[in-house]
Amino acid sequence: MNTEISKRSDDIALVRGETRPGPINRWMQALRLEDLARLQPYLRKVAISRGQVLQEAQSPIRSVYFPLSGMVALMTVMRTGEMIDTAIIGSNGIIGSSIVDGSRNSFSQAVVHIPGEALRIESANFVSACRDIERLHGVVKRFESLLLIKTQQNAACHGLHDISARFARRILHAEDLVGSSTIDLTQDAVSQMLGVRRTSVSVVAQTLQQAGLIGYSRGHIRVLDRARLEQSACECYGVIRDEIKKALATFAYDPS
Amino acid sequence: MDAKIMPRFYFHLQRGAESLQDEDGTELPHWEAAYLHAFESARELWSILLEERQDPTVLTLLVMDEDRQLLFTLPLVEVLEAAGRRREKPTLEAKAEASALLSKNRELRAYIVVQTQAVQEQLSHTLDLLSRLRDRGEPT
Repeated sequence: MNTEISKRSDDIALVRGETRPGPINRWMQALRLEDLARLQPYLRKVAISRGQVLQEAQSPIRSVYFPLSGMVALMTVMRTGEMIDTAIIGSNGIIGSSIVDGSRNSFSQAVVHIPGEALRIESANFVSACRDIERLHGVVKRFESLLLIKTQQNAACHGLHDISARFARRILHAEDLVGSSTIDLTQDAVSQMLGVRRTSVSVVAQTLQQAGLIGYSRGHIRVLDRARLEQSACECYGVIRDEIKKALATFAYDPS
Repeated sequence: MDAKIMPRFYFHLQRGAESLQDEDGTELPHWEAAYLHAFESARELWSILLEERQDPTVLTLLVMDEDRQLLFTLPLVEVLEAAGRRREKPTLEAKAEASALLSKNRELRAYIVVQTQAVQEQLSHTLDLLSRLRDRGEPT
């Protein structure tokens, strides 16, 4: 019992990112400590592994995830099985939050492309927590509107921008989420996100490699020249990064 | 996961002496699926190579099986040929291949005719035996 309690308080420290440095979810960080304490009994820390489907498309939302680390892509899957990403989610996002406004089913598929950890909460508990904790509801609604902005920008990006610019943008997002210039992202993952075949990924990766922007071998990407990689990425990188910042700033931690 | 284990195919991209190796390969149900995949990849590569200001016409896809044996090659220009925009006269090799296929077909057809005749003969023989049996079985 005692170990259970101490584990929980450890977890709170972890999500709050206060007494002990560790991975945090930016939207959980926006909650007050007392709100977090109320939510805490329903949260479970789980590992999310490469290729794991956290949420199937057009299927009931059973759990909501607050990633602490790793990278998840929201994918739209066509009847032919072809797919393309609509948003990239990491510790700066939430998966399955649309349930808060009564969407029983998830529209998109959520796939883990870089493994990590997440805080998981059963969707029924999440919905009632959103009813009880006003700030949580506000946070989730703000994230939902951010997600709409991200998907709109992404749709425009897929339609207008070259593959290499889109690839560069995903590397930058991944680097931000992982917090390291070495990114383990398989060619399959990249090809799914960009909606192209793997040979096309090879061609584009080779170009970026020859320009000295990245090192690339068998699913390991090393960012060699961040400044030039940002130049070769489309404007969407900066647009999305700034929108996330703006949205989170609404909920800057208020100690009162 | 009880999915059937599928064979793995490797799609290398060759330009003259250099080639872009496919290290991981792709799992596909069969050879025909690999051909379709190669063709779709080739079609897609055109637009990506043009975005990258590279010449697609000098590139060829090499498709290998699991044992890294070459299955077939697909020059990227064939995408255009399939679209009917470019029809070259068949090469001597292609002609030889076609006529070999034709004579093989003729042989097979002749074989089928012989087999059909044999079956028909067998059938009439059986019918004959049956009617004889019936004749013998009838009460006199």
